[in-house]
Amino acid sequence: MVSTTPCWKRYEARADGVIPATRAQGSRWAGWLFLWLLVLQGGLVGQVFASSAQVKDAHAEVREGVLYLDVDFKLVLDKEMIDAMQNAIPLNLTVQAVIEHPRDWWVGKTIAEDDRRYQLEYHALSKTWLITDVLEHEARSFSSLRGALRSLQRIRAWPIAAAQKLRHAGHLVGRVRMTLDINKLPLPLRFPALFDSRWALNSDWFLWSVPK
Amino acid sequence: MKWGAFYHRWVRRLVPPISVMVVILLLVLMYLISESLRRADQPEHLYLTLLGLSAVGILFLAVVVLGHILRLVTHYRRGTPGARLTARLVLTFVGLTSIPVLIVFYFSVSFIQRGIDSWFDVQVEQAMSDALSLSQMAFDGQMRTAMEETKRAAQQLKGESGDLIALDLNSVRRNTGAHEMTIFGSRNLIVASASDDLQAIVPSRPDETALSHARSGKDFIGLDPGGGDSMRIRVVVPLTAGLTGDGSSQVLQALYAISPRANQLSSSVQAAFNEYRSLIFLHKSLKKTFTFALTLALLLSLLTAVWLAFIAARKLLAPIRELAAGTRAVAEGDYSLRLPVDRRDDLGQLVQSFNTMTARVRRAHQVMQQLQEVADQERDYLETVIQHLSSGVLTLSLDGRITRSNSIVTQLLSITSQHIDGCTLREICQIYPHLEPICGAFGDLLDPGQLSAGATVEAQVRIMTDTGRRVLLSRIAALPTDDDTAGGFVIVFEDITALIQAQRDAAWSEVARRLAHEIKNPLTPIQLSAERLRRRLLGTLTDESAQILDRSTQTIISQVEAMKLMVNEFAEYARSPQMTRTTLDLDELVAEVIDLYKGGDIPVLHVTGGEPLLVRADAGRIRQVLHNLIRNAQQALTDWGDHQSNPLVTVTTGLRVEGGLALIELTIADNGPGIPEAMLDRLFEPYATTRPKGSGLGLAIVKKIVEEHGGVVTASNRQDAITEWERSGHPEGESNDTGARIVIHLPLNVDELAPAFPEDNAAQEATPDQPGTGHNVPQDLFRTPQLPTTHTPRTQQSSHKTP
Repeated sequence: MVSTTPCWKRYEARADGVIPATRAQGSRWAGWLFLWLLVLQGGLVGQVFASSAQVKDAHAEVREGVLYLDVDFKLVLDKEMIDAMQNAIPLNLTVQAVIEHPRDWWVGKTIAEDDRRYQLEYHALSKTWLITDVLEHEARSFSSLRGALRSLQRIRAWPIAAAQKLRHAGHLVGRVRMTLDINKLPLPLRFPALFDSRWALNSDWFLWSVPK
Repeated sequence: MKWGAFYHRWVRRLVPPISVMVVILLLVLMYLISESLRRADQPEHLYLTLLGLSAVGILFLAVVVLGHILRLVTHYRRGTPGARLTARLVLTFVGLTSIPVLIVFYFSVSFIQRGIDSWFDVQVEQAMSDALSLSQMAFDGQMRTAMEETKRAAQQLKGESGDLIALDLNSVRRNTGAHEMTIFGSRNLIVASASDDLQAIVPSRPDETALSHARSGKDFIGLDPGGGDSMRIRVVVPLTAGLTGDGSSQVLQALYAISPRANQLSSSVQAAFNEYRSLIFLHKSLKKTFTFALTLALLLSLLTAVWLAFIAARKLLAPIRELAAGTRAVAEGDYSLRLPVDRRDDLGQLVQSFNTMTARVRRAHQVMQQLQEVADQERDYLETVIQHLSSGVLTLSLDGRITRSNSIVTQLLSITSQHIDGCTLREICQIYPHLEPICGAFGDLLDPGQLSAGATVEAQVRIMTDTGRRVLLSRIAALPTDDDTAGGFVIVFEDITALIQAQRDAAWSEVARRLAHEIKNPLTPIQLSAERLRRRLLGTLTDESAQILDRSTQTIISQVEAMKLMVNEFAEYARSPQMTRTTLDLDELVAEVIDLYKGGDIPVLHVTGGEPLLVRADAGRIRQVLHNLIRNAQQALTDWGDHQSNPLVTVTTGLRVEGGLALIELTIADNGPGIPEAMLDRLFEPYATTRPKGSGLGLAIVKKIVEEHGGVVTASNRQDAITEWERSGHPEGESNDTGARIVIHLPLNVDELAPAFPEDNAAQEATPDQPGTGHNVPQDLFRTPQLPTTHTPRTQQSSHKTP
């Protein structure tokens, strides 16, 4: 098209040598960037005490034809979260328990599942902490946050399913976790809470064996 | 390839409508987001879903815009027509839209920041806290009463056994006015409970703090928010004093209801407090959220603006791009392009004008092509003419390189190579040294400024070629151009060797005539005197003297006789032709002449074809020709002596038809030694002879007479050409393949040639009849022995200008 062939050739010839160098440089830069991010993250973690939720233990047993689940959590609330609760912003926590039949090439088939929803809030007038079981409409007040958390971290005799239902379902796996319901937060907090480690109160799934 | 087709067919078509839909969707989303920010009772998942959708939509728009930008950059670098204008238009549009948008954005953000800040007031905050404290204080009296009542109840119940306590508890509860009263035993088990609410099965439990307080012997009192809006006063006191820590002690809890009015008021205060506190807590996030929403709107506006700018620029520039493509096509010589005129605005008029222009250019181009063809034809015609000229023509460019030459040039100059175009004259002279005289004559004239436009220089140049010396009349002329400067040169060569030869022949004739005239006059008196001496004195002298006289006079007389003969021959050669032509039969004439040679030593044979060979000629001169040639042949055979046992001279007459022209052919041949090769070329020149005693004029006279009769004479050796006819008729000729052979061609009817050679006497006086040379040489040329026209390259320029 245009008579720039010699120049183009020279450019190509040069490019052959240059591109690997550029790539090497690029990867070096990426490495530096990654390192910096790590340092930055470490710094942030050091400065900001992130919230966390963790399932410590889960144990199920069948009594009188019903499968009961006992779960122990470990909840760590960030100061920001406590601050929010003290400023009349309730936290909504959901505990999900699922019993499923795992499949090789697909997600497991759900045999039974149950949710428990708790709302943790601070009652300013009585200066107490209130845990409400949303589904059961039961409220318990605690004079300290520690007491409230101790109550929250301990779920006993949670009826998940009838043992009859599980008997012929083959190999079963139980999973349990706790999540923070971001959609129930006030609107301005929802978007930041998606990415903020201070609001990360979602635990990983904890697997427990299903007795028959 | 497939992807390219797919891209052009679908992606490019679908992107604009999808983008429009995305923009509309984004507008709706923006509205919904702003609505959800305003209203509290929206569905839980709506906000984040809307945000996600907006992000995807904006990402799509960003990709579309990025695609446009990349394509524009590519086109810009390639220099695609319209790319620069598109870039400028897009930048203008974007600038026009983004500046106001950014200003609005800036003020909106700062307004939101300040607006949200202005919601909060320190005094209001304080008032809220005070209101809450006041509410708490309002319950203080009631709580004190409740505590005292509970303590009294504990006193009443103290010491009673388990079963009795259960029975008494309800009555004690009624007395104290508590809503619910429960006794917890060891390990916090419920020992007894009494309640107003008969439906409540499980009594409310105190928390660990309260229980541990009571077990350590301290009283606990607090407000219990309970479920819903019914706040209660919770009092926990130890039932058994002094027995703490062992687990067997009991604790009494009493719950007192608060009046609905107080409940309502306190709830209201708390709700307001909560609202305010949450607002304070959230105000930073709120600002961020509003700013975020505004940023989304800004991004949407900017991306849409850029995208629309690209669309608008493309629509606007489409005709310009077509025009550019059309212009390029015209520049490449395609005049057949017609652009579609589908708009009525200024650009439409421009396209119309372009079409008109293209049509005119096309017509002009056609005319030009026709003219070019005519010019080509004329040039070819000229070329053909030049190629067939008898003169050699060379054209040279301004820097002296040969641009054109005809084939005669190479023949004239004896140049073996056919391709001399592009060489300079000097280069040719270096390759062919025999052309050096030409370079010497013209070399300097080719330098710039030496020869003005239109000037001509003429020179006579002698060069030696492989065919002998050649005299060329050469002319160089500078070709004029429009601006009066020399635009190259043309050199014309004319071979005047033959002309010079003719001039020389004529000069010789003149010399011979004068010599003959001057010498002839004293010869007769010398001869007469010698004879008289001899007659008078011979008898009177002694024998010895007489013998001397006799010998001397005899020598004088014979030498004078010989000189007379020679002078006569000179006179004959130089004689002005006074021909008396008659129509005669050549065969008869030949037979008549041969009769004279009958009985001689060497026989002369006449061979004739039989057809009448009528010729219009001077009988005496033709006879002289025959005598000369036969005598020459006999002389040659005699000189050769015994080499030839059968000496024979053959005179052959016949008719020869060549190319539609009938000629009489007269051949005189002998079987002698032939003509030496070196002599063949100049055999017919005067004084060219092989014999010591010959005058060398015999054959020159033959040639002259034959040419006077419009004929041609040629000489050759016999082995070169023996006709079949000769061989079959005369077998003895076969044994002798040597011998000279003179062939004369005469026109059959000389009358037809008469107009070309006028015979009126006046002209004959002034001009000798020399038809054989082919040139009419003016008589006065021969008055002086030197030829006056041999120009050395003296620059005798005639500066006339050709138009």
